[in-house]
Amino acid sequence: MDDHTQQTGKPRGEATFLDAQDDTRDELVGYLERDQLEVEMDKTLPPARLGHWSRVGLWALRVFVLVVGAMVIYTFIAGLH
Amino acid sequence: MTPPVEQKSPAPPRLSKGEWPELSHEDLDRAADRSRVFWAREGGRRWQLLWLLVGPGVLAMIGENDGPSMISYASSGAAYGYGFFLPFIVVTFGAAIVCQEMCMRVGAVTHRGYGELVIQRYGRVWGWFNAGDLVLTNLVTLVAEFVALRIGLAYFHLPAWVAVVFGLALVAFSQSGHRYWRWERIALGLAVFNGLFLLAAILAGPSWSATGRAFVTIGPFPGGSFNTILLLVASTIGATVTPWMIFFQQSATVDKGMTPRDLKQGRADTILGGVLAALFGCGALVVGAVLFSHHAGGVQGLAGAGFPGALRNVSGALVATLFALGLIEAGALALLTISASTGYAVGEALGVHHSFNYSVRRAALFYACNIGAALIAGAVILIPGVPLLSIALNANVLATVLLPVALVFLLMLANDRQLMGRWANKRKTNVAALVVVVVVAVSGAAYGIDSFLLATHLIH
Repeated sequence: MDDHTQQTGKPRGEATFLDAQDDTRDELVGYLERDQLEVEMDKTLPPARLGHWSRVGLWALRVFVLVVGAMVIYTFIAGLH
Repeated sequence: MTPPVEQKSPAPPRLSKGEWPELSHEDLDRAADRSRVFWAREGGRRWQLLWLLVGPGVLAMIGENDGPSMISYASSGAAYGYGFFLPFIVVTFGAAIVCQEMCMRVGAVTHRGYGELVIQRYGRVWGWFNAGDLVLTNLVTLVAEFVALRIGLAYFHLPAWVAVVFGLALVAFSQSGHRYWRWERIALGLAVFNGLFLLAAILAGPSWSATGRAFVTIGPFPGGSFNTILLLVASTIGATVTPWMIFFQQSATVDKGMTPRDLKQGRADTILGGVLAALFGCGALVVGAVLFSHHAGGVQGLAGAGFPGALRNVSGALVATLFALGLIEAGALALLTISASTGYAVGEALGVHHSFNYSVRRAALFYACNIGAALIAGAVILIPGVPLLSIALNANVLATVLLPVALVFLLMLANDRQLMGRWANKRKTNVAALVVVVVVAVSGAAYGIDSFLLATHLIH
């Protein structure tokens, strides 16, 4: 039985928020990467820098969405009848 | 911004005392989950490590073996017998593994969901389009899941409202613990019963020589018009790689708290899910092929309401019961996973809390979307006169616009070196991924366009 189990009566990792007092909180949070913490995950990432061909590709994708989207909506509605 | 991933060591620096900022309930719950992973890894307990980290991949893959997909596989078997579609199912799940591995990797490295990354890196228009189309497609697909549930329960003489109450109770129960771990283990427990299709196939007394021949010769190729074959091929691909899987696996990977150190187990999880799903999908097709052998085919699509009944006449009550139970499982599991992907997508699009580890009060919208999507779909199947069959049969066509878009952004994210650092796609992965993305996207687009041409009677 390790120190943690002797002190808490629970195996490692079985602690819950309610019994996570300072020491346990200290121990538990150490198992996370910094960018897994909620405060870090809430931060917004900067937009991607796109090259010329990527922008052309995304415009082609917009055209695809508009054309095929119209077709699919028509097909779906027609299919309901 | 999150520090560039290149700066991370393979064993990420753990936070030391006094270094941690304000902590939330979710942080501590996830840390508790991660501590089990840490000690299993430290102790060299490989099987325990795999058990702890398996989940998102298996659920995405087996979740896609949903009610409509299994009936679609069985219908292909009933219409064409053993042949091309058996090995084709295996190939399509191979393609799904390539796509889903990228989702898992992007989620584990960035700790952000797919929808969130698309919005932040490529703009709100693309992000909202992805989320909006996904929600619409998911709602229609959920209706199809309730229809499958209803078909399965109807075999046991249970009415439609039982399917709705059962489905909603299951979604609510799975979320009631406010822990991702609990939700995932309930869903995994259900996923085991997808194997009933394989059991039904074995007990149905299939021709093993014809099954083996189909895999060796990749044939016989089904007859029929070009459009019919195109629709069958494209719908089989559409039954294997779908937008909700992309959203779901990446978000679930983040919710589970996986990190780059878990990539090996994440890959194993994805491959295991793909192999099992292919096996069970082939099982459904073989069951249908038994009907074909007895000239009892002609049960098409979700008109397969008569499937269990037809099976009882040919293979006996046990096989029919297993197939009906399989349909109930397939519909029920997909209710959980597709509802979850709806909640994740809306939460990420609107930038609000989206995790099973949050309380209902802190992530009200996430839970509301999760159960609300199932509630709306369940209500639809109770409305008299609603064209359920048409809705279910046309569900896949809605995904054909989103699928190519979702795959293109997934490929861009997996190649984004600023985000992914040394875990970005390598050349070999990119070649495989590009081939898969192009084939799946073109098939999806062809399916959408062909369906349109058929609907407008421009082709027959």
